[in-house]
Amino acid sequence: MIRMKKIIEQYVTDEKHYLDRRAFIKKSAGLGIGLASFSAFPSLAEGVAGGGLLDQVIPTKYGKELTPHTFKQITNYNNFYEFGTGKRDPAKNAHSLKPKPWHIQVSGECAKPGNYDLEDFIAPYQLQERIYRFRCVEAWSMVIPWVGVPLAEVIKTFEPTSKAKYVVFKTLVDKQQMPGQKRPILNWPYIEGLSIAEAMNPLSFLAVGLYGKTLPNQNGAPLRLVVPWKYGFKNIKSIVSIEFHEQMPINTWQDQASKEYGFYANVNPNVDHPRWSQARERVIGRGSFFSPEKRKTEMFNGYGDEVAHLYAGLDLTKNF
Amino acid sequence: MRIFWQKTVLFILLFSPFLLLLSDILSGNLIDPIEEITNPTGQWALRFLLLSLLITPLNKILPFSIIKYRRMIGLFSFFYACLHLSIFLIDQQFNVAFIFEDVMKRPYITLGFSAFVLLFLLAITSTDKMVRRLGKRWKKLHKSIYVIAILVIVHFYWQAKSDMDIEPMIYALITLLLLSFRINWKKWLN
Repeated sequence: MIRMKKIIEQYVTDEKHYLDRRAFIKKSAGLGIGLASFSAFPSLAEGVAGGGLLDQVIPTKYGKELTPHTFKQITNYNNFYEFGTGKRDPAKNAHSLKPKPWHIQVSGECAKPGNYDLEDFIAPYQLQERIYRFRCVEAWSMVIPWVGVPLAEVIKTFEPTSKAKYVVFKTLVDKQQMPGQKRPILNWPYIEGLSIAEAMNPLSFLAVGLYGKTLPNQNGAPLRLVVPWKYGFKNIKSIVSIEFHEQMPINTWQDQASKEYGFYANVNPNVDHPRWSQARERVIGRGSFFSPEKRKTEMFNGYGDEVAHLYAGLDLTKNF
Repeated sequence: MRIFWQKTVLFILLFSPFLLLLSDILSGNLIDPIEEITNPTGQWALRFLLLSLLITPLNKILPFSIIKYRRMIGLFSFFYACLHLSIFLIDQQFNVAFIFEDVMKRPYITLGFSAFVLLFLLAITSTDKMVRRLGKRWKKLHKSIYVIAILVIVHFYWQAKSDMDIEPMIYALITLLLLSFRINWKKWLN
C-alpha cells in the first residue's frame, strides 16, 4: 500500500517519471502485456473503458506548481450526501454505486440531444491531467490532480442553440445505489448549473479520474464537474443528465438554504458564509495537530486571471 | 468501598471516549483532525449532559439511589466541552481577534460559548464545599443546566448544514423529553 502511494505521488509530481511511464505503457502494450503492467493500478484495468480510457492522458500546465494531497486524503474525506452526511461516509458507503454501464442524457436547447453511453460520450476528447485547488464552502481545502476533458469541448459537440443560457447537471437518483437518498436530507436529485459563459471557460472541466486512475465511486464516479474557482458543492458528482436551459436553475444548496448558498458560489474571502468566515481555509492534513496549516483564501480561489471577467459589473455580495 | 469501585468503573466508562479519540489522533488515521475531533467531543459533551439530566427522573423510579453518580457525569460533560472548545481555539490559531469575531458574529458559536461559560460556573461550584457555601442558591444556579441543554441543542442544530439533518433532531427530542420530566404536569393542567 505504501509502495503504491509512493508510485502514485511521483506519478503526479515528477513529470519525467510521468513521461517515462507513458513510453513504457506504449511499448508494453505492443508486446501484449499492457494489462499486466497495470497491476500497481488495479482500478485502471476495471476502468470505464476497460482500462484504455486513462491510458492516453497528457499533462497540462495547470497546477504544476502545486503539491497535490495524497490519494488517501482525497478519497477518504469529502462531502457526498448521497452516501451520508459524514466526511468518511462516502468512502465507507459508495461501494454500492455501479459506474459501469453509465449513460448521460443530453437534452434541452441544443442541436444534438441524446442518450450517450459514457464511453462514447468521452471518447472524442483527449484526456488531460489538471492539478486544481479545491476549496470547500466549509473553509477547508485540498489540491487534487484530476483527469478529464475541458467542458467547453464537450458542450460544443452538442451544439447548444442561442436560447441555451445555462447548463444544468443532475446526479443519479437511485436509493439502492445511493443509500443516502433514502432520507430527504436534500431534494434529490442533486442539481447544479453554470452559465454558458462559465461552462465555456477553459478552466471548467469534466473529470473521469484522479491520480491517473478512474474516479473512485466516492469522488463522483464515473463523471463529475470540476470548477476550481467555485466552492466545492458546485462540482456535481456522478452526472447522469446535462441540460441546456434558457432560465437560471435553482441549484440544490440554494434550494436548501438560499440565504447561505447562491447560484454562483464563487470562492470569495470577502463575503462570509452567514455562519462562518470565508477569509481563511484549513489546508487538510498540513501542519501539526496543535497548529494546523491555514492559508488566506484567494479571490476566485486564485483563478481570478481566468474568470474574473465573467463577473464584471456583478455585485458579488448579492450574487454569492 | 463498593461505591469507590462503582465510581471507578463509571470513571473509566466516561473517560473511554477520550482514549478512543486519543488513539485516533496517535494512529495518524485522521485526515482532518480538527473536524474529526470537534464533532465527537461536542457530541460526547452533549450525551453526558443528557445522561446527567436522566439521573434525577431515573432515581425516582429505581429502588436504589443513583444521585451520587450525577456529579461525575456532569463534570465529564464539562471535560468534553473543554476539549471541544480547545479544538475551536486551535483552529482559530489562538488568535484573540478571530475568536472574538466568531463568538460575537456567529450565532451558533455565541450560543455554544454561552453554554460553555455557564457549564464552567456549574463545574467550579460542584465541590461539596461550594454546595454548602451556596446553600439554597446552589440549587438555583445548577438549574441553569436546563438552559445549557437548550443552548447546546440550538448550537448543534444551527451548525448543521442541512435542516433535515436527523442527528440534532434526535438529540432535541431526547432533551425535550428529559426536560418534560421536570414539569409538574398535574399542577400545570389544573
